[in-house]
Amino acid sequence: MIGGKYCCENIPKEMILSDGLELTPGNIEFLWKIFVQIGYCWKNVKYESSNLKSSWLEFVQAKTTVAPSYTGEYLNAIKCVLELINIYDETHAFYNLFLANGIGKEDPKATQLTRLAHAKKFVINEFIRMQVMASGFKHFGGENYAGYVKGSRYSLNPEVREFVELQQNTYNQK
Amino acid sequence: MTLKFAQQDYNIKSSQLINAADPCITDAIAVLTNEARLAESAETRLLNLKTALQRAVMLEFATIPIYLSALWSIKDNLHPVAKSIRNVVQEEMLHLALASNMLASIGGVPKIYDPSENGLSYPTHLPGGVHPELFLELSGLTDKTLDDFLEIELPQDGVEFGDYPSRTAEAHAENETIGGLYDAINTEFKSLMPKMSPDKQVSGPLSWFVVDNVQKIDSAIHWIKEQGEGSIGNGPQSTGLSKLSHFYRFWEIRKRKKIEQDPATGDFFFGREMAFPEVWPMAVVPPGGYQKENVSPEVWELLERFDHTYSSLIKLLESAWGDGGQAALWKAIEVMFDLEKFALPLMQLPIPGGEGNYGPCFRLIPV
Amino acid sequence: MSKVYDYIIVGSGVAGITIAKRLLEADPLTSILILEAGPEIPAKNRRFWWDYITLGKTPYDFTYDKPGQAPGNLGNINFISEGARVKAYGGSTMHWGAWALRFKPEDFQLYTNTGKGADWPISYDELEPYYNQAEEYLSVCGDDTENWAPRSKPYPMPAFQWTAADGVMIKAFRKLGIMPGKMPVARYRKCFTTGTCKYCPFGSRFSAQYVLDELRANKRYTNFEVRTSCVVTQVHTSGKNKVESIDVTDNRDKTQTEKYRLQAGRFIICSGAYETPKLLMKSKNEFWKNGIGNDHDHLGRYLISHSMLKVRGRFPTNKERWFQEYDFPTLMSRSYDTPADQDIGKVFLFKNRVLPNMDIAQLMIDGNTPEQIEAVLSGPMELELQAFMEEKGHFDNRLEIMDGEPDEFGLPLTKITFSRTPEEMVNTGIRLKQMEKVIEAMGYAIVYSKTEDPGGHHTTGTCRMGKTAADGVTDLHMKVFGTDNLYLCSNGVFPTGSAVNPTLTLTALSMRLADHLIANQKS
Repeated sequence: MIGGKYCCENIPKEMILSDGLELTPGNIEFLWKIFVQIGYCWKNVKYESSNLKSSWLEFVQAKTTVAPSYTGEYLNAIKCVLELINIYDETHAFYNLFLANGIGKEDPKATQLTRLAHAKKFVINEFIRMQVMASGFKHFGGENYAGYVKGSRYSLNPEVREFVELQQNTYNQK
Repeated sequence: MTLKFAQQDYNIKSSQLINAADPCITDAIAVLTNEARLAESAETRLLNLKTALQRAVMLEFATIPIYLSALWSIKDNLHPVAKSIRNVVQEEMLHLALASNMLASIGGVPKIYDPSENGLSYPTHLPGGVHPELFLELSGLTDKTLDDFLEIELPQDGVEFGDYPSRTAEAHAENETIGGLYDAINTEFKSLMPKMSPDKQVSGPLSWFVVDNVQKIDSAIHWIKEQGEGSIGNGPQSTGLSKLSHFYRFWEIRKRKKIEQDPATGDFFFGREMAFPEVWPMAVVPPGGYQKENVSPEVWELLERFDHTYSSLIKLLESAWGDGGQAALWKAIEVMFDLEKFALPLMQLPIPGGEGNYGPCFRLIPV
Repeated sequence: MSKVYDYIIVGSGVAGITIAKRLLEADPLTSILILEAGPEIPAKNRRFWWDYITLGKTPYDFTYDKPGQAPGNLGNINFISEGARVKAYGGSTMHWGAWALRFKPEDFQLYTNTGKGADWPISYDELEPYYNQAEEYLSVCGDDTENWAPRSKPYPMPAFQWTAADGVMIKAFRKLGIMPGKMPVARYRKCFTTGTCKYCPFGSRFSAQYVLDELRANKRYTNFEVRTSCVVTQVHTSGKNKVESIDVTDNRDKTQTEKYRLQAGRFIICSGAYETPKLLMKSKNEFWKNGIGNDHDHLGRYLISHSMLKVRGRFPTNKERWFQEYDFPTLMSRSYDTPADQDIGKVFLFKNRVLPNMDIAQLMIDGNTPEQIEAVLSGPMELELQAFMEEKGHFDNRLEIMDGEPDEFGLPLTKITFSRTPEEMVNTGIRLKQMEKVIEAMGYAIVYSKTEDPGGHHTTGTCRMGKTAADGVTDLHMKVFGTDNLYLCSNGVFPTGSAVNPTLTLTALSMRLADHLIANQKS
């Protein structure tokens, strides 16, 4: 598995407690940078990730202000990523984190997870789901995706790729 | 790639809040474009830019209720005319959102919810001294309301085809337009190059993108001007028939004919018939709206619940660019659809005395 | 004990709340108490919605029957109850897909037409005006050009169009003479086609919760009350005919359970096809030795589900990179849902709602590169034709109360005996063959062709209507035979299950019952 001493430390697999913890604006901005890297890695952001920021901020707020809070997990993920950046350069840190993390499938019987596996499970994986549904899916050709707020059925644009009947040519050839 | 965390400054002192009641748009444009401004401090210029954007926000906001009244008066909400007007409303909301995003990008906070007497109420002139010759009133869809809509959306540089007898063309030519205001805003953004942030902006189906660099200011203003706000290049020639700008949509309804293109010459003309829909005869809402003592308890309940829902909606929308964020926008979308619950029954109730039917008053009240 | 409600309604799903709404609209001062055993789970909650997106978990799934709470292995096939019903404020409308289809006239005459199953004591024509009203109320989006079942009014909302991925199956249908149709689904105008219909962030799909919220907020309805976490444990009669009171275990205060007895003029049990018969079975007394309404041993019997048939096909490539973009199917057909199909069992065909499903996020989570994901998306694709197959009620297919501690809401446990006859198994085979032809006509290779184990989602028959007490638990107005003031309104009263989803029909029946109660207010 990638990472150093911090990433590889085993801790209980349950969500890290968030009691008394709070994200600073700097923490949130660091998490946002992690989120933006998803679009760089998979090249699936058509315009800029900034269009997703209001949704992402709302997501982070919902996940940190309502129990069970993810604040502890978010702070842990920041530390993991900082350690990865320290060990590898930034590009390789994210490449390794997303595509070559060596974490492997979670053993349902295990009682412990590494800190990096926590970061992947509770933060990175959820960020990926959020990113794909918020617009990342479009790169792969769809108009709509579960969770995407496509818009009203009564706007001019169809909500999904629709079946188009082939028109019968009824004109008389003169 | 470097990871640096810029400290954003979102604090605006309440004394800097914008007064959009200032009537003269010409002055507003001058402030953003004259040479003298270059000698001003960056803070002053930023404040002027915010003031102009707040003015744009109010302008975009003001037409939505009058178009909604016309839309709801149509009995069949799937009628092609209803679809066309609904599309105009959706685009006005997009413009409102983009203008709000532009304002939020430089640390401004859009203000639209004002239940005091300074808030938006009907009938009204367009806010900010634009088109002082025009008067916006709440009414069902009629030829008269369409004539008013056409004047509001009249292209700045003339109608691209056909013969449109504008009653205010002269005044239009003399006065600065909404398009002129947006052009001035664009100019000043490019000159001032203010620091821009996406953090207090929202995006979604009503607000297609955030505006966090000057290229995106170009896009936002392009959309706004092409779809609606009366400027160059919004005729069928440039928009195509499927995305007609607001003026041409309303003109089709007024003429009862679809705009079509001659495949041989490429010329546009009024072709197929477009039936005028059946409408509820919603009377023009009197200044200040209907009063409790003059209407039945049933009507008052609908009026009051409408005003309450409308006010909650506007407050939520405003907070989407404030502390409410995206969650407030989603909630606003949901509440928006509740308006019809009260508006539609109102439009079906005749006013005793035969002057037509009731309609919602769009009063901003404390909620 | 002093207060006597006009109505006590047990259960807060679509049936109970629709009746309450109508009664209150007719007379805002009607005193109605709705008792719901389950908890109130907030709708449109942003954190719940995000958890649904990121974890695939709904906020109400903890209320489902858990393994061991409703074993269904007493017959020759396993009957599955897990995931079938939501025990909460709003009932199963919290999770329903909102497919809203009318039964067809022949569904009301199954026994007359085939000599099997049962007839309804009412006809399609009697219910038709209520179907119109129910479609309006649920905001059903449907295709007015369809003619599956006779209709006297257009749909209130336009149909959702077929998706591009439906195209290949539409063409195969036509080749085989199967008429493709648009799936009628209940969605309000405010639907933002978000695809998370199981927990809509905007409340765009009908849920009984929203109606209840509005009824509670209406200041004119001063005598209307809903109590959640209150389970009804017993129904009492004074003499044979008159239901006098019910026993309630009130768990609203987590620290202290309260038990009390409540009286009403009329009682309406709307707690679904499981709990409705179970409550009556439990309510034994000197007048009703086998439970109220059970003198003829009909309670819990004739249990009907839908047999779920599935034929999956595979195509080597997906050039257009299709994936399902809605959370519900848009393509269906009722071409095999006709009187001629009744004998072996009608089927309602529809395209699987999630295929072709490309879980792009999971591919990324698993560490696939963009190129690998492209290869998966344009690679082999699977589509599936599914069907609900009509079943006929059998006396021995039944649900009963199982001994043991009640579940966490205080509801008694369930046990289910369900068998399929050899003839039925042959018939499902015939239907599967017809469905395989569609997959083959698409040019797809068949991956599997199978009949699923039955499940409780669309359970009907367990307290069915009848013409007389000898063939049913209730009369045509859903009043329990032999009583003056006890009504049942749930899918359990359906004598037949047809091939389509039951909720629209239940809603129509609820409206009809409310009108009947209003018209007979004084009696």
